[in-house]
Amino acid sequence: MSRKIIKSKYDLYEEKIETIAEVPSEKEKPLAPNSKLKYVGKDVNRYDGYDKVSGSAIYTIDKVLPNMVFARVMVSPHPHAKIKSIDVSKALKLKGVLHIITNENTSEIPWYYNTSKLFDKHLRYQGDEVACVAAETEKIAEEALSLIKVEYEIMPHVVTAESAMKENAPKIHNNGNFGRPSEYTRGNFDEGIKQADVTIEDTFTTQVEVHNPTEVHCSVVNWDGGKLTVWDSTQSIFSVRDNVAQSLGLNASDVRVVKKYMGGGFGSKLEAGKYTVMAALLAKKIGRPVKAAMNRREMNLSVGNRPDSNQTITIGTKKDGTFTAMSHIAYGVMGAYPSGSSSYWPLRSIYKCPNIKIDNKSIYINAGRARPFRAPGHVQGTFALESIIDDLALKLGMDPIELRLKNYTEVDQDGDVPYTSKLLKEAYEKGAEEIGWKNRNKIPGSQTGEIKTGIGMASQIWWGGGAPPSYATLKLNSDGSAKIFSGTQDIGTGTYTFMQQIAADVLEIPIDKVNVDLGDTGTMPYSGGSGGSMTAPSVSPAVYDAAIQMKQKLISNAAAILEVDESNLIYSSGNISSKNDSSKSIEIKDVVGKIHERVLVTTGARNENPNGYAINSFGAQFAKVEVDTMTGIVRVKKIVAAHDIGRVLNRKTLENQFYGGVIMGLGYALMENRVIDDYTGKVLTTNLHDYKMPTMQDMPDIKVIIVSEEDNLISPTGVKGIGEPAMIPTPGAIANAVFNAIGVRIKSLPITPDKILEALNSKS
Amino acid sequence: MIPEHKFINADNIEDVLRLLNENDNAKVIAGGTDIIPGFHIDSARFKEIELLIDINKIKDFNSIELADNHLSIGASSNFTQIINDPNVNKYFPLLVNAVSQIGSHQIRNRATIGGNFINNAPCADSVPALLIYNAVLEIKSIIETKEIPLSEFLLKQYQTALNTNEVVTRVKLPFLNENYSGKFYKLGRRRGVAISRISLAVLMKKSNGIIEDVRIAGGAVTPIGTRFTKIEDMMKGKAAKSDLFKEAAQKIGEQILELTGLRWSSIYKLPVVQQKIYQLLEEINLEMNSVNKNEN
Amino acid sequence: MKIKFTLNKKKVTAEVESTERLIDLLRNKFQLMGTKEGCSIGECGACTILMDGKAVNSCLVLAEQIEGAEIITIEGIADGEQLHPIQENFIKAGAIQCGFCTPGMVVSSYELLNENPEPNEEEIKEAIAGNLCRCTGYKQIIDAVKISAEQLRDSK
Repeated sequence: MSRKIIKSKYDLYEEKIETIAEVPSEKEKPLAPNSKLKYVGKDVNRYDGYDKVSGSAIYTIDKVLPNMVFARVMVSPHPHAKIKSIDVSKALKLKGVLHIITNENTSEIPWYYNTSKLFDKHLRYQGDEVACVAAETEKIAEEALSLIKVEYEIMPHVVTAESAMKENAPKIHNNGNFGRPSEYTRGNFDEGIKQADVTIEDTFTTQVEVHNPTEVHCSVVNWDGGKLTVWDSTQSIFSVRDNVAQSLGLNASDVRVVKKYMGGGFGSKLEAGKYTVMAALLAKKIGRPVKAAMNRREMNLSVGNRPDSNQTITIGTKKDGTFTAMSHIAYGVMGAYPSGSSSYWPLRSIYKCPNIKIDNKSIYINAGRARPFRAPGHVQGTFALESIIDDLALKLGMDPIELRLKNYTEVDQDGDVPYTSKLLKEAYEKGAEEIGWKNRNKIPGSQTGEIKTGIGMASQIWWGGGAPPSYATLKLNSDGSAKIFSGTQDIGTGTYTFMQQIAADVLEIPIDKVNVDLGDTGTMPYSGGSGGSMTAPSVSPAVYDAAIQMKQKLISNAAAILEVDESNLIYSSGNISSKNDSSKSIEIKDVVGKIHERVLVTTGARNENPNGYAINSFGAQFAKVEVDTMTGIVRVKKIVAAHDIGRVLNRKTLENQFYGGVIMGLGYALMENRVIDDYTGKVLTTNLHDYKMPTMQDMPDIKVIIVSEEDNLISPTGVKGIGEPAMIPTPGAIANAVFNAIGVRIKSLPITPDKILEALNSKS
Repeated sequence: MIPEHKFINADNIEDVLRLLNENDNAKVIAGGTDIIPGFHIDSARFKEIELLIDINKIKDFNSIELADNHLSIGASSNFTQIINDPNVNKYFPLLVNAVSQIGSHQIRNRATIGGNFINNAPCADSVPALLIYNAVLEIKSIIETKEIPLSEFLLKQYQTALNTNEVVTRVKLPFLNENYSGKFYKLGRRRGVAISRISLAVLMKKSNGIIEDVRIAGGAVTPIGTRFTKIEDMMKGKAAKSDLFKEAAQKIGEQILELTGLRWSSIYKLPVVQQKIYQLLEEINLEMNSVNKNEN
Repeated sequence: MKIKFTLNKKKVTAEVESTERLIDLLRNKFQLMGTKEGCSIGECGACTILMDGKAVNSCLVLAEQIEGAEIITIEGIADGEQLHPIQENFIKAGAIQCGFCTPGMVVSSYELLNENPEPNEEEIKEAIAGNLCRCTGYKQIIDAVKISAEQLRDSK
């Protein structure tokens, strides 16, 4: 099958990602609809199920190498300080301590886009790294940390955006506390507002949310001469490889990153950690393997978060609800080092509006740096946008869904190109029916009684169409078994399983004959990081292509073996036989057995995305809540998630993602909150007792409705990603349901009992 | 990190008392669900410990026994044991209600009744229930065995009347006559495995519509678990009516404010506590009325 | 100090330090890596094991405290390679995602069904609320416990 090399372009926020990629040169015949397939789209059990339920799955934190030692990182106890001196002599004398690295004995390794170093004397948040100790045991390493004497020059700190934006605020970086702004204009906002009959403006705020995956961030490193192997709890093995190689001045080919199982990331594990590089430096010096692991406290200080936001939205409409202008003026904290905190994208993209003005500012504060977190910007942006749209609907006397449909767009508002598919209308219809939309309070808050119920909804847009380059290698063995290798990773989302399903369906062989190995930069073809809901839509076409090629290769080999013309051969259920002569038939394992190498190998590639189309996923979630007006407690009773996500690959893993996204959205809407004490600049929520996440008892009834079938314009597998869409609309839907119940708008997340009672009091 | 310490698995109470007497920095450990996470987060409360005396193996510490006029609960009885004990369920249901909402199942399998109040944390959920049942603690030292009401044992936050050479051996709950009716209420930060923001226990006894006895206690709303005895006294002998319940709720709010001072959380908590106390009193009263009717 | 206890039905002895917790003993000395550490303070349940038949957080037990105890870890739930029905049903119900919380979930479910063979949904939630899962949204875990309860009842 012929190939070509392209410059692959993929938009993610403002970033225009360009990479060179090999892709199939022809458009491939798509995978059959799910109704005609044995495995794809079905309830297939997880490939990795046995390992995970038996306890035999080895995660990076479980990895033990002979002669391995342990590293622990010492972090700044102050939100803002300079290191005047470090004295490690006492720590080095502790029995079992092997080596300590600090800024004094480590070459300057740039970090955070060159705004800092691996060890920076200027410490910009509580959690900034000061030293790293290697010792025989983790306990000795920990004890050694307490023996390191550091003299700090304490500097004034600033931990809120509002104070960091003030002119005389303490400066976190030389050029001030403002990061790169996000500005955008479409049409003319001022003109658009003039055309409006009705305008609405309001300000919404959201809190900082912390990823808190259950497995802590950790690496195990081992040198073999000049070559380094890193076992890492990561969502992106190739990013870690490149980050580590660059930091240590190595060729990427000399760094091998391996990840088999990892215990959750949600965006916080897409890059190499400082601890990984420190472990490598220590391992080099000591000549032994090193394990470096964060603890839960550090997880809540240092490894990322969803930035907060303060969003002021203005919308102008005609009397009939047609939007004439929208603006989104916002700021949010990105922590002490460059990241982003913008939240405007849903407003910019989901509704039809000719005049848009956007100005989002990202602010430095003395706190842990933000990282991507499950639909960065979209969750907070959707909460604000969908809240104000419900308020607007009330003002206009329209049904909230009717107002959304009034501004529905069939073309991408930025590029003026059609979507490969958009079934948001269908999601509205099915979701509304399932939740009982017509039963919502026509007048919000009109129920009498202490417990009030409400119904609300919110819409969602995301990218998640996938892109090349992504490759998968397929081997077929002479026992009839197959094995897939790909440098993607399964972060729990079901990558192993859908790859197995696709190969089994294309080759028409039993699924248990197909094995999958993922997550090794040293031996596997490239695939991208598992973020952005990109994995399934990028990887599934690659494995499909590999299997299609394998089928063709088998037919060609069978033709030679059977001495029958290829065109006369039929492939069916792992058998190849002649159309004309039934005696001429061969099983595929025998085909492989007859050839010299006893193995056939193909490598498949993700196709090029179609030109002239936008690829987005869409969905709507509906929430039913109960609000206790005496205690202010909100109970989410039901969530309906109706989504357009292209083809369903596996119903079980799909539901995993949706339930998990919804409950994460519920936690964000109602309880999760990183709290920093303004006076001391220290984080008060550094463990899972103080940082509350939802338990099984907080779980509502959740119903998942998929309104789409395969989208063959995107790829032969027709898949859109689902990890992020699952969470985006949940908080907005809950907020709107709360409004529908009590008739007062809570404009600030999390929606806590205190805020509910305060709002109810101010109403009465 | 767990600090280095000496550890002794005690076989009998005498050994415990002797060890406590000999070591100033000894601490008794049972479930460990307070001490061990305390170690981990480097809590100042557990800094000086040199010796841990484990009492899990001592039967006298974790048996639940019926006595003539009271139920005697070993101080190291864990919550699961208490929840499953037929006598606690029969005679002291509010205690079962309270402890079954503490922590997670795993925690309840380890955490003990003694451990819940021994550190006098404001949010100890068993305390309001124990207070309204007039719990009396049996305390032993090498010198003596004494009894002291829980209400006198709890001094202030993280401080009790326990001396370093003493150990709480049993919690004694005097039987009530059967005309009492009561309720326990807890409001947590989330539904499952929640620490209390508010916990309340109320017990009432009526005769011909007149309140003979009423007991009201709160947790997490005052610096330590507290009985509102002044308000109870005010209510006694009066007719069980909504107006009285409102007045009581109002006064309890005032007393909480006096005890606690105005904090950011009081703006939320006070009205909820007042409303809830009123509601609990009303509900108990209504239930008692309907029971009486059924009997007639 | 030296302690004796039963680990996954075998009698074992171990030299333990006062600074060791049960989870450290299991993972470091016995290399039983199925017991996971999530929060270290008894909030997440990833380290749940059975101690004398009761589900407890192994991060909240000192190694010294298990003298004479019967400990069962996730590795002791299956019969060799033959998974316990609860484990099988976790797979069938799709109750797993990243899998890091799964061993603790399985152990909590195991204790629940030993103590209460017919739990209703509220009882399941109550019993397993001490096990946090950041991925699955819990629903399929509840399903797995429900199917297991039926299956275990039928097989009796």
